[in-house]
Amino acid sequence: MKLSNQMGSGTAPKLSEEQQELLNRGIRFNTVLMGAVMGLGAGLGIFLLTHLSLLVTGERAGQYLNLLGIILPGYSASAAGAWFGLLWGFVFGGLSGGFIYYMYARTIGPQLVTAIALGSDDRQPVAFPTLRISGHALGTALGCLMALQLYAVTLWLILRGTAHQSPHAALLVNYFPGYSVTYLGGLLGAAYIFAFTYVFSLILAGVYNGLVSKRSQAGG
Amino acid sequence: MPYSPDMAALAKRRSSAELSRLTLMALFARLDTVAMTVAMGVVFGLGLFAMTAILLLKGAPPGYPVGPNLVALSTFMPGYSGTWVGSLVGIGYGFLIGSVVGFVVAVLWNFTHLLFIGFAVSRGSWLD
Repeated sequence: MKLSNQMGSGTAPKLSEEQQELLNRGIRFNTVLMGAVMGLGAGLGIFLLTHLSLLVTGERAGQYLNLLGIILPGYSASAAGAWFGLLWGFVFGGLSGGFIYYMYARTIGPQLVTAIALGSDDRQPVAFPTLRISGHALGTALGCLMALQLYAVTLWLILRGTAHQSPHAALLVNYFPGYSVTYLGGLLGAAYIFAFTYVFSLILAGVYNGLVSKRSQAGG
Repeated sequence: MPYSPDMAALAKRRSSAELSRLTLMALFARLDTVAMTVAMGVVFGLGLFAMTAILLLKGAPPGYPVGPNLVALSTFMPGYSGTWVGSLVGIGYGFLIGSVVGFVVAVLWNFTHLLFIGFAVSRGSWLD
């Protein structure tokens, strides 16, 4: 038997009120969990990258990393600044992780229940089935997050009055034609980054689900 | 282990109690670590290649390097450069970095779920 890679093609199961409540509680729990995981990952990631950068490039580390200080107050490419990076990484990473899972779960809806791969004997009490990923739901969630973040950063650069001194941000025009550090340019950039993220999410889900399917067949 | 072909149809056939069990299983399903490692590697590799390729296709004025800011990554990725060969090297590095990210995400996701389930079972509570 073969695992279908197409998510969302089937009919969503009809959940009772009690089951819907169970699903909602689980979604809330996983939202917090994803937030914690992403927060930890982002915080530690910034902390370790700052130290790695200092180790490898010495004083030149600040050339690009100091730009993070524009959106992460207190952060700089230094040992002390790395602690601020840890803190802000945990906060922003946590919020982003929670947003991604919540948005993913709300986009996929009750079909979340069917987004798993079970054994051929479906009555077998499989404690930990394998998760399948909906490319559409992931693309929507990640795409919205990236678009919101790009627009928020653009807006922040405009509001702090440094829009014209942001050559690095303006370089995004190489990938998003029409982007600029302006209100309208930010909207265009947000639309582009949503589209790019959506496509890459479809690729991610396609490769992941394909491998899950292949590995399950090989294991059976 | 073979898999059921249509989980949606399966869910519709199930009794209410089984559907509740299926809901819980879906919420606590594990990420396939190997699949996530490879999938993230592929996406990161393709992403870095695409970013370099777009700059190469746009080109740079004579005497100027292509994408000097992106190519600054070569500090951490020896061999990577703003050339077609460099972009192919970037696929390898992207795959490596993405794989590590995917592996960490999958392991943390699975581990924290296991931790919670162990804690909940030991306390005799479930999602209360």
